[in-house]
Amino acid sequence: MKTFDVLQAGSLLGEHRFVFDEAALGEWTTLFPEDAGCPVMPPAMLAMVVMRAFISIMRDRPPGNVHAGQQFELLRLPVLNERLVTRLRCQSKDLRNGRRWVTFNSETSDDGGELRFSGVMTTLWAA
Amino acid sequence: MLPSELTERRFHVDRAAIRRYADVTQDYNPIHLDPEFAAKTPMGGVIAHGMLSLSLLWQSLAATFGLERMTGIALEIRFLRPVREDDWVVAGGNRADSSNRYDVWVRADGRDRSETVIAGTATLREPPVSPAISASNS
Repeated sequence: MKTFDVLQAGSLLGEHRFVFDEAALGEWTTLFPEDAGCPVMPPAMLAMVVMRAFISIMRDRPPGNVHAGQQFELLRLPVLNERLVTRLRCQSKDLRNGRRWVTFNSETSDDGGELRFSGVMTTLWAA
Repeated sequence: MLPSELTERRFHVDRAAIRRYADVTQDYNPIHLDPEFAAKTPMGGVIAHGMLSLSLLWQSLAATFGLERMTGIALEIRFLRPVREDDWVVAGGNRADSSNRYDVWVRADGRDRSETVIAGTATLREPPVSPAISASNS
């Protein structure tokens, strides 16, 4: 279980691969049909890529965590059939007023290693 | 010239939308999906994924500036309050000053409330200088 005590600031937690293809775009557009036919990845799909990585890599997380904040920096929107890899790190952890704050850094690159977008997720960790 | 306000986007967060968002993100936390479980938590009922509401902010930014100007954009937000099933969420923003920075927000309109659930900033990268302008300045 990836509890607060186990997480180490600066450590690489894992990586997750994602292909932005017609199938992925099709899943997305069941929710936001206006994004159908978008020539690049719709910006809001960043969350789909990052959350899939987080859920997959942190599958043994304690239940009840709270997503308190989020930063994104978008360098370039992926094009159709682009292969992406997201690396997730524990950026910091901090015990303040009895609350366990953990931040995670995600970097999503193409398969040539060029950064496409990055994010910082701030969480209140449950245990 | 940058607009003073972002183009607003609205979305109805019903149970089907929450379920679809769980599917696309593979985040099946029962607080989003199981009314009985969610009722026993401090939230007191089902809440939507925070990133679902954040998606609407991206939609607002893209509708305002177009996809080309999404490159280089930086978004920083805080999730202030939960969005409940059957809320309408509205995303928008206002230009903060003469810079490329916008104060952005998502508001939830429910049966008996209207409140800001996400707040933060979006900063656009400076647009590239065209060769003609560059040449005239050299």
